[in-house]
Amino acid sequence: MKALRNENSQKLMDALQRTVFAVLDTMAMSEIEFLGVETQRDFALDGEANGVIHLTGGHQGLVGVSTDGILAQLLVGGITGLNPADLTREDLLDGMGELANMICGGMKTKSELGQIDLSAPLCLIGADCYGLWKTEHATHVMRFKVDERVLKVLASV
Amino acid sequence: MRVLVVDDSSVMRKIVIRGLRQAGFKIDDVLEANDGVEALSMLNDKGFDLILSDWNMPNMDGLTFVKELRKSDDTPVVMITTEGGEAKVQEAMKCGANGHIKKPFTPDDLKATLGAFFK
Repeated sequence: MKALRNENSQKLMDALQRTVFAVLDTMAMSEIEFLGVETQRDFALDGEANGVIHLTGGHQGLVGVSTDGILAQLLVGGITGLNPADLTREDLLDGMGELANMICGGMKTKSELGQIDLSAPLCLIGADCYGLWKTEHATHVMRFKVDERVLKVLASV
Repeated sequence: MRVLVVDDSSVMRKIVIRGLRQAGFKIDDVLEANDGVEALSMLNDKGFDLILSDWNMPNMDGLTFVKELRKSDDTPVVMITTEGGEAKVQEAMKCGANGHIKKPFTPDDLKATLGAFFK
């Protein structure tokens, strides 16, 4: 059972990495580079803009995106076509949620794991934002360089 | 052409409207609704040539919206879903939806899927 979960987790991680590239390339037209992955005990969000999706059904887990306010504005501006400086707080909340939603949807398809349900996104923004979700499994944090800033994609799967 | 975009995310509505314009469609008017309930209320006094609807929305989701709409209206409806929602798409098509688009999409994707609905 544990071996199967590990195998499925790896499929999800591989699919997640590929999807981040695909989504940013399609929607935000951003230059993107994979910087690496590290593992931490808990699912901790410490960026100024964050979006999280809960996976249920055949495979339980959490997937989130986290970045600083400037990159959040650039990404949401990129996918909406709006001037980043004109984005409202609601736009940033919505935008980070949509980004998480699109990334998780692509991960689900590319992993080919069958029945996984995706929750509506939880979005958090704020200069001193810090969120912590105590999870059963460790969290893998993938770091991507986007327009000279860092986008973190967290997965506890 | 009059188009109604139904999505609880204001950002997603902006993305769709921007995509329609980038795809080069001739649109006279685009209206927005937050959910299925609001969309149905707008249909009572305004006619639309095409409706683009999200799936997951509060108050009334996309599937229920299509079912309610089809009781009295045959305006074409195209569902907008994330990848991985293929089973839901099939369900929506059975209930009267006319097509679907997966997020993320490009203007070319919109052109290919929606071209038939624009005269």
